[in-house]
Amino acid sequence: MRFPIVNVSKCPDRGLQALYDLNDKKFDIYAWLNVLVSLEQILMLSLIASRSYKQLTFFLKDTLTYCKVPTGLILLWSIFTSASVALVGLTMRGNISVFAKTIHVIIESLFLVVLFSSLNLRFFSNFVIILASFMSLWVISIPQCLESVTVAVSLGVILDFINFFSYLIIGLGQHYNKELWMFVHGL
Amino acid sequence: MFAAIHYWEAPTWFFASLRLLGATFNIIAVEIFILLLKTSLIDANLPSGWMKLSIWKSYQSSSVAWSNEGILSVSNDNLSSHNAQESAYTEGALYKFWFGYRNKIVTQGNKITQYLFIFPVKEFQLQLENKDPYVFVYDLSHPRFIRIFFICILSIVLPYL
Repeated sequence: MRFPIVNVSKCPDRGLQALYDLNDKKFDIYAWLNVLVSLEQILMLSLIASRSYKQLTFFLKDTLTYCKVPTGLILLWSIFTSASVALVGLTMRGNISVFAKTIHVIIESLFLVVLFSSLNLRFFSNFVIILASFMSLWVISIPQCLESVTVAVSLGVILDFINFFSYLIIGLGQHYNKELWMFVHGL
Repeated sequence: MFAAIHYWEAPTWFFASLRLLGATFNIIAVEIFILLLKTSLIDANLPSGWMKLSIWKSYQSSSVAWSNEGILSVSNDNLSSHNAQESAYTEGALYKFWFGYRNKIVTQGNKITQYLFIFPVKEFQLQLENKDPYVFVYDLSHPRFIRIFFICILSIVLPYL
């Protein structure tokens, strides 16, 4: 059984197209392993969510003293990251995977928004919100897949960098904060 | 990797490897976040491993403790009877975690009713115990190891179907 397993309109990048053209069993096994592990991760995350939804937080607390990470956002980010990894493989980057990826990028931008908000940097937090909103509208409204997806993916990469370095700077002042450092490693 | 996939010229196998490696990095990031969430949300409510029954009962997430004879203690019958980092097992009853299918316990006074799906299968009176044996709490990752094992086998089989 080869990817994509459904015949929908797809938008493969060069890596996915290369994987398809190669038609190598070793690569296919690796691809299936990635997809199935991602699906299992969604199951694991849903188990964690169903058992601890009352404790989930969506804002940063005590950012400059003992930063408490937003567990609710982390959970949502993880679910949509795994979903996009699985769906990219299963549909060869069909619409549903683009949708999952867009939500992943929106949640990623929220990491930055809650950080800037907790530091009272409203100009920056509002700027990120506006940028993420435009990106979402762009992806939803433009029918040419490469134009829409490339914007979302490129913004995702930039956000990854900014997020990582922002939280790294906070983490450098709190070497004793294990949760924050795990968060930085995940980013 | 993003730049390489989008802008470089390279052989097909290189692009394919890079794409799979990118997905693996995403999976590793999610694994770190799963560990973070489990540590801060699940372990804080009830850690796994061996502990005294009285200590297990003191945690809010404790549900049902099982011995070889049946139910040893019911802390919270709203929670599942067999669940990692919730239920507990004495040494001779560890297998019940994997093969115990009674999903629901209902306590009414001293009477305990065990349910299989929605059907009552066993009723008995709760005995007041003076003993405080060691019980084992399975980690949330233990059933996961089994799932990942089957996933590995499935990912080898699926490309040949």
